[in-house]
Amino acid sequence: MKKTVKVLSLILALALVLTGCVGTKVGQGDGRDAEGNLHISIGGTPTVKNDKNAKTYDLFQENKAKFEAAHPGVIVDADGWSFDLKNYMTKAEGGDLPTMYYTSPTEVNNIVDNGYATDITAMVKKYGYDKMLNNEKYGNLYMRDGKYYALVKDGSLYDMGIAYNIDVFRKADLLDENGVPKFPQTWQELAETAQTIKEKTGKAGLAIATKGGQGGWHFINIMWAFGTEFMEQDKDGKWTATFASDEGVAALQYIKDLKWKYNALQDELLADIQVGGRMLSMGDVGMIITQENMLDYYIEQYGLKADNVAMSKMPAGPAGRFSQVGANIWMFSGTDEQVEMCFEWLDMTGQGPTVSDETKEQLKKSYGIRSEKGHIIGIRTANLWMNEDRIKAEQEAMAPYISVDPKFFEDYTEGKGVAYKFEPERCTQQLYAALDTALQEVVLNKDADCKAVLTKVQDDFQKNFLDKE
Amino acid sequence: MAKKIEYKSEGLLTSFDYKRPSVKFSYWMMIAFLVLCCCIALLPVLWAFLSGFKELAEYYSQTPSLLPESISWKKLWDISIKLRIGPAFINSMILFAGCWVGEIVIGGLAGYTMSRLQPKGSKFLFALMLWTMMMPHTLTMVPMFMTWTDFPLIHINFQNTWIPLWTGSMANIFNILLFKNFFDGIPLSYVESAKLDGCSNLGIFARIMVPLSKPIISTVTVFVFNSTWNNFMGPFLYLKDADMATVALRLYTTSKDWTEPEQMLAAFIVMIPSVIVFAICSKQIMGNNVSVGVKG
Amino acid sequence: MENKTVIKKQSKAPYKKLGSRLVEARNQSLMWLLLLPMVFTLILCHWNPIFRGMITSLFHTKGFRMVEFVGLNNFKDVISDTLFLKTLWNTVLYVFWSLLLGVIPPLALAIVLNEVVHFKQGFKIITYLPAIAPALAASLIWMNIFSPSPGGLLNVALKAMGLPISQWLLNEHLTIPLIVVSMTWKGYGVTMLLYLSALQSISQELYEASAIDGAGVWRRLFTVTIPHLGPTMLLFVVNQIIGVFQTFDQPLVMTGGGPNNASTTLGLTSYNLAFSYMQVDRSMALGTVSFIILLVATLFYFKMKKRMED
Repeated sequence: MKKTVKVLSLILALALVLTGCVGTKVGQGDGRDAEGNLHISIGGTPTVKNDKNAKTYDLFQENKAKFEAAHPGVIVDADGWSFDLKNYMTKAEGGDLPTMYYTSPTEVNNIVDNGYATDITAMVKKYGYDKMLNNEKYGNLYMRDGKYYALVKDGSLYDMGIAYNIDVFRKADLLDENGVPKFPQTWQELAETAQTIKEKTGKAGLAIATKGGQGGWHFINIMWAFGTEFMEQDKDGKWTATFASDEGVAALQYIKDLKWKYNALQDELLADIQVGGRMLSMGDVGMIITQENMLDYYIEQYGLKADNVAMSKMPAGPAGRFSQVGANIWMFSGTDEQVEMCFEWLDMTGQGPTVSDETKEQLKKSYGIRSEKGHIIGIRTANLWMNEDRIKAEQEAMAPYISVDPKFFEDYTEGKGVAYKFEPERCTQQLYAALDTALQEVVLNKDADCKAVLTKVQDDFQKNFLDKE
Repeated sequence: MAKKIEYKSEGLLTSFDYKRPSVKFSYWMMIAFLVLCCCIALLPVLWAFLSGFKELAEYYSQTPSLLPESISWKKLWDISIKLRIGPAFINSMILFAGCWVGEIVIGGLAGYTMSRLQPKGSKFLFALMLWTMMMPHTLTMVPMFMTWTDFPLIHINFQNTWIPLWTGSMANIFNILLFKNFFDGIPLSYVESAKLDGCSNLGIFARIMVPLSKPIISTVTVFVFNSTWNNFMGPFLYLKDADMATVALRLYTTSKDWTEPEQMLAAFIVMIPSVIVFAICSKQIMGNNVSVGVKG
Repeated sequence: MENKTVIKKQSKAPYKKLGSRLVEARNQSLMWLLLLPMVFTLILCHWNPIFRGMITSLFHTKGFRMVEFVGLNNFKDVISDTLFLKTLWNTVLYVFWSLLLGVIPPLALAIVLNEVVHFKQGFKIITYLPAIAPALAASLIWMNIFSPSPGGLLNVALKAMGLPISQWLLNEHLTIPLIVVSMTWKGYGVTMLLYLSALQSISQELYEASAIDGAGVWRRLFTVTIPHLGPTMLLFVVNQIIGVFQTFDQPLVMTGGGPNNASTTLGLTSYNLAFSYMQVDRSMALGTVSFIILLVATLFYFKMKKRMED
């Protein structure tokens, strides 16, 4: 028995030694290899050439050679990893993130709060980006507490709107004399339009997301339109959830009616945004809530045709039109030296605010590649950069590749009367997940009491997350 | 064909039982049961495979058809060419070989030691291993990666080496317990007679236990092969050097730009070696009963 | 059982002489030498990360860095979660269904497969196919089978039989059993293989002796075959319970934990806490809670077993 105790204590001691010795290291040391070369890695770039990514791969290799020639002692590496929640934290804790990677704005809070984001304020100022940015309007995307932590990829912003399958609208006899879908102006009209589609074609009128947090992410736009406030802060800084108000309940009732009164939703009611995108591409649904850049993804993934899709701004609710703004954003992980080289890289590849012959050339090439993939080109809604020459350069670069008739997207791009908003303040991911369950309950249960459902969701959210912050 | 069962000398039912018509009837019932099981197993897989030949619209259709409109074997051929598995195959084999040694040799020896030699404290170790299985594993990936990228005390980054992946396989508790279980079940009489012949412990292991444990070795080999062959997350994190990419990783990096039907075909092409390995090993798993092994 | 006692007697024989004590010590250390690589990896790959996690659960964390000692606060947080009891109950349901579907059918299949002499190899390979089928294929198959639209494969079958179509996974009472069905389809091959290899170690003499005693087929099955498979079954059941307690990927992919949290598991909650909300401390606390539940369950089991044996 004594021996057992000895063996056991030896094992425990060993385990503790191991445990104690693993230090955390966020970031990658000084980023230099044995020869003293400085490495930067760009996330989401192809490491292996194949038939589909050949152009992208070649462009990266060409740029890499050019960049390394211009900056001796610096090496640019392609890193095949692109943002994935499943292994983000693993890479971050192991110091294995690419120096520069893109993510979605919904993750910025978590990344900054957990200390994984490199503060790039000094570089933003050094390269003069701060003068080209409209922080009042868009700072929420890339700033926290007055510091810069991110950059918007390609300077391109997006906001939510409604996408239409023109073919389905044609079959439901809902096109105007120009062949453009009759865009519903209010959420009420949208419900009626959806009902018409269902009655005339047998296809679902609207496909909504209800799981993976994406349901809540879309639904808050409707809740805003009905006048919902999500949470408020009292004098002591404590947050209280307030979305189970009459307005919030009315928004939930609207979703419930879509299912049980208008019978206009899809059959697959446990759905993420992929389901809606797939159905839109296949002509199985008339409308979905989405953003412009997702359409390109649906084109590549589900064979959506660029000439079979139209977009409008968000419909109005009792409180007005609201749409959440987002962007693909770059975040950084590395030393100042590395981040500086990343800024050089962005500049050279035409992703910064500066305009030169080189950047014009780069922009043209990247539009060329997108054009070959069948992307929707020519409907950029908003541009992050404030300088006119940058916007002009971009328009010139895309001009030869414009792939869609502007009449199908004017309503969306002009966005008249839309108030753009950012996501709610605290525990956003948890809020989205909580709203998911409310959506699921009302679309699956005919007898659900919207008031009771939303109040329970609010109470749970308050107790489980806001109270425990 | 029906003659076969009249000569059956192994298992629960032998030729003696088959003289009774009711047993004979139930034999054919068993065959019917197996055919049913095969349908449940095979039809969905077959359907998914054939889906790979579908066009995009057909593949995602809300009313899925049973068969694709056309089956073009050229598509299958094109995809297998485009995958360019070549060197990745060798890498996968290196990974498999290391993991096999880890799980069969180290794990098997550990199972044998715990079952037969029982050094002091091994019972306690057994309990510890059971508890370890119960402990939360959701998050072990993160600290493991931190350990391997900056190993305690020696501060070496083990990325781009096989060591993290090989080592991980040595501590597959379930397989070790399987071995232990198997050795526990081997009748003592075999060991006793060998001892009388003057065999040492290791001699017993090599001459009696190993031949007897062919079924379990084959079983675990199948498990090891399947898990290493399909392991994508491990190589993705640890083998960043493109020259070290395994087949699973290669499949991921090459096919992630493809459409889903194409990915489906690619996944099925990559699965072929697993079937072959299973076919080879499963012959070992059955057909040689203990008694046969010992008579020799 | 018999074999163990013999070996024990040998090793615990009262050696008096110093020489034989040395031999004994040498033997002991040699035996531990055989276990050493395994123990080393056990420490490195299991206890190292797990201990870290358990210690982490007592702290407030940023990422994996411990910032502030908070005692049992994280535990209080996860247990007082309004969904905790529901999630725990769901997990128990998963275990129940997976034992019901995952233990007996593969056992029957293995025994039958072992008896059959025709097309043995073919049957074996085909029944094992789901275990090697690509994960992508498995998810496509089950999504289509359980699709709530009229074109879903099960709904087509129901319609053909003149029955009303069902919502399948969207029905909160069906969602757990259906997820378990898909898990079992992918996993039963492994179980079957385990039973098959265990069946191989049954000595033919046992059957013969039993037959000479006049035992019929069924009695032989229940007195020889099943008891011999006992340890394998027990190991598998333990492994299954533990595995299902930590399961998260199937519900994550198939339902995302819905509808209305009807298929959320402890594992999925723990996964979400860590990776979606980046709250490592609470995730670890929840993991530790589920470990303690399992531990109590096993201790209870062993006590019951002992009482029954007495």
